[in-house]
Amino acid sequence: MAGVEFKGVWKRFGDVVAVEDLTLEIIDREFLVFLGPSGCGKSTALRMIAGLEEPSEGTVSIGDEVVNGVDPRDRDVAMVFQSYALYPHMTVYKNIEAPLLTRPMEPPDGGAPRKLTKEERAVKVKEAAAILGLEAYLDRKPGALSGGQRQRVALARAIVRRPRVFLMDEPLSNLDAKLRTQTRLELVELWRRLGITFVYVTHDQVEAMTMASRVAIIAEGRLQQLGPPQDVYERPANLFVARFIGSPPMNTFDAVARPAAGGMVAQAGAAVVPLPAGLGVSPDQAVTVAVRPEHLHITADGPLDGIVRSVELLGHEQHVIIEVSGELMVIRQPSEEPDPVLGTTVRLSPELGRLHVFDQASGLRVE
Amino acid sequence: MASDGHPSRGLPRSIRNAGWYLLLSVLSVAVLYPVWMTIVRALSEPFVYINEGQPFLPVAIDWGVFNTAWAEGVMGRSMLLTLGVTAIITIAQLVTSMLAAYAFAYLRFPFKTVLFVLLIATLLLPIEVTLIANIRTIRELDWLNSIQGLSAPFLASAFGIFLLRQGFMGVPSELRDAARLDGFGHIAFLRKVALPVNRPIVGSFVLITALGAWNNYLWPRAAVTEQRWETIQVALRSISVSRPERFNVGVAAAIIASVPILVLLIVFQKQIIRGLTAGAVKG
Amino acid sequence: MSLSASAPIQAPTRRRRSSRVREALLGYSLLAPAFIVLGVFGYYPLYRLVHFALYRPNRFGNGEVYVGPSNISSVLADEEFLDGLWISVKYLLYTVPTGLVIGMLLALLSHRRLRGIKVFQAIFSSTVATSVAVASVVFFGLVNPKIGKFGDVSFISLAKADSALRGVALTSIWQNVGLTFVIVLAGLQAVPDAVIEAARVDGFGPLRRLFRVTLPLISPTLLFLIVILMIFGFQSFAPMEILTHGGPAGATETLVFKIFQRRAPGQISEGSVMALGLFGLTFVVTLLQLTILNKRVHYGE
Repeated sequence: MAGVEFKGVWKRFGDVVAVEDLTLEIIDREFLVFLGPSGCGKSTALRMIAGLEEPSEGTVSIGDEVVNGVDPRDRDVAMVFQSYALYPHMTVYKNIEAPLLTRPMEPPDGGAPRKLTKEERAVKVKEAAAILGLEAYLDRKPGALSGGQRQRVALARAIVRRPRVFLMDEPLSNLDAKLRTQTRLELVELWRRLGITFVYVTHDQVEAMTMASRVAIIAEGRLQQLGPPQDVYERPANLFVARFIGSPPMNTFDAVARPAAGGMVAQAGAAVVPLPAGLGVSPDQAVTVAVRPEHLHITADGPLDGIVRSVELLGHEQHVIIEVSGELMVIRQPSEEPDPVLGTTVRLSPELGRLHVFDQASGLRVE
Repeated sequence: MASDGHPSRGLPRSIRNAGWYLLLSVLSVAVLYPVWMTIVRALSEPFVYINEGQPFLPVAIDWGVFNTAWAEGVMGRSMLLTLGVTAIITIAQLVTSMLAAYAFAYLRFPFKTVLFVLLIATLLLPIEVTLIANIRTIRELDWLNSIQGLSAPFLASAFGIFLLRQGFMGVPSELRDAARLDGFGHIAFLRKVALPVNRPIVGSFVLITALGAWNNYLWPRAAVTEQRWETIQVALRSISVSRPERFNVGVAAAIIASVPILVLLIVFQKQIIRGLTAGAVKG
Repeated sequence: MSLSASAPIQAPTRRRRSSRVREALLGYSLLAPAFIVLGVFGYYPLYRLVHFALYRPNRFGNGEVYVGPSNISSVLADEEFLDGLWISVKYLLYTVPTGLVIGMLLALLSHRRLRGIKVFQAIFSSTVATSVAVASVVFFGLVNPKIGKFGDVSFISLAKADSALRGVALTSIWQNVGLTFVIVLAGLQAVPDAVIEAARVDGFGPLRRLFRVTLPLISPTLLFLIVILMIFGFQSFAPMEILTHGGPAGATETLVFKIFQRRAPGQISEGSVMALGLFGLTFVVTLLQLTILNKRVHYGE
């Protein structure tokens, strides 16, 4: 069992910087999710743990060992790929057995690592297959399996040798929505059961929020924020994270901080929104104010006003889209609330304690 | 394409289909006519056949002609020799092609592009061009009339390397990554993944190579000066053409020589056609 | 980066470099078998051809004398070579268009949904696997002046110099029909149904669909095929040797036939120049293919 550490890691492909100065410690036995839009460098970071890419600069360690230049097979990591990468010509059994063939490992009866005998391999394959409920399919080839079954074979192949670190690159993206939800639960269950470090790459924030111990949000090759999912949701470190996490995304508007009686306010045109007390803004500072759709309400005397443009009914809730001085804002409210009339002007008030304020120049959160 | 599934224009479907069958049958007869006439001639007593004005059906049938042909010259030996040369060429080409294709598909080394261009350029150097220089080389090596002389120039082929390289490059990169994590080295990956995944391409390549080696004419004709080293294709010429008066025996020999090819064609039609069309049709 | 951080990555960098050298060595050793064969029997002969072309064996047959590039130009300008070249070109003109058109027609006719169409397709492709020697023997039986059923048809008579090449060409035409059929049919099958259906919806009739949609879409295949048939045509040897042995009066001595005849040491100099001529010809045809491919042809994507 082991943690993983990135120290000052850069990865360049020619002129393109895929990962920029990444320093990050993945704690032993945690479920860490790299979350970010496609092409942000999260897969590259994962592949550097696996040894499929070498850092251009900096070090990657697994446990206490620097693994730069170490061959993937000697890193004791396992990986599940987006396409599953099963060997199409081998049976499920052979696929699961493949990682056991080539390297010495501790035999089931203890003792020094050595290559396993056929019988010992069979025990391990059956064990992994049992964990994932694949016993009935061992003689089939991947082509004869459903997407979900293939995905489980890929998982079985990865866990069969009990690696120190378990890597997953968008493993759910080829499954349909229903199966994805179910597999999410199973993955967390598997993680608890195996007690090893999971590193998981996805662009889907729901996967990150539901499974991660901690989320590392990455954009344009840089680590934007690292923390437990709830922290990231409640206290986004910068504007990128604020806009990336949450669905529908946060409402934002640009404003200028002004002193007023009873504390600071944010002034955007004619609208004046009070800011929470004790916020570290200075007078005349350009800020971006953000509020989540569920923290914005239609009230009789709100500081903002806008025109109702459309209402999306989702059954358990509704999204009201309102145009506020040229920008669209979304309100998320229970469907029992009365339907606003399209085209009418309404007043909006954000919950004071739920406002997020960011410095416009740096994009960083102001506390 | 043209007019299938297009109802209602003119004639009813059944009549139109009958028309197609008639047309295609006539064309089939035309294409197969030379083959049929060859069989007829093999079975007919040659003088009777010519005297009767070369009819469409055999006259004075003599099935013994195949025995005669087999005993004629040394057909058995020729076919065995050709089989041996074909096997050597096919196996050698598979091995040399798959190794080189692997290097071109997966490994990084200096001058890779230059070497690949040099390889492809050998397509401009077919045996017809290099014939007399190669014959000189074979003569200097004292390899005329030998198995090594018959096979040496064909032990590697740019076509094979190119075809297998395409196949190897088609192996998904994630599968390669997975194999690296599973600890497969280059040789293990080639043996356990790259080749088995490309079995259809390898199969087509082997069949096309074997067909070509068996059917080869010019090189064995030039590289052999003694009758006992003639491959079957070259032997056919001396058996059949040299004595027109016993031509029935000659064509019987040609029929016997075609049997292995016919069997291959019937069993592996799909793979052979895929091999022939490789490169011609995309996708 | 800082000094303290640079220490631990020194070792991996060195490890990486040595693995790169190992990879290159592995690459070269995997290439070696193929390149040795292709070098000895592909490039070395090319060098030797040039050498033979520039030197002639001396009078005693135990050495060589340099004759220089003038030898090359004199052979290339000689009637023997030009004759062989012209006969080879005529052979192409007889075999390529005929085989191509017949094979294409068969492919177009049998590319349709019809019960049992596979049988017809198998028949039409059957000539492709016959060896050229067997095909030559087959046509020997049909057109040989003494015993052939059509031996006295004057248009293809092997006995007369002006028609013999046409008689010989039948063998190649018959084989080309099969090859064309196989390749064109594969090309037709690769045309997506949706494209043809779209053309039908646009109101294109069968002929217009053929000329405006199908043929342009398979044009890369056709071009490939024409080049292959041309190269095969230039390389034909067995039909001439088996049917006419170059006769009558050298009327069927194509370039390859003449080269073959000059393989003995005494004539190797002249033969080498001819072989280089054939090389040039192959080169031009291939170059032509590449140029046309780049400019004219609609790709199916």
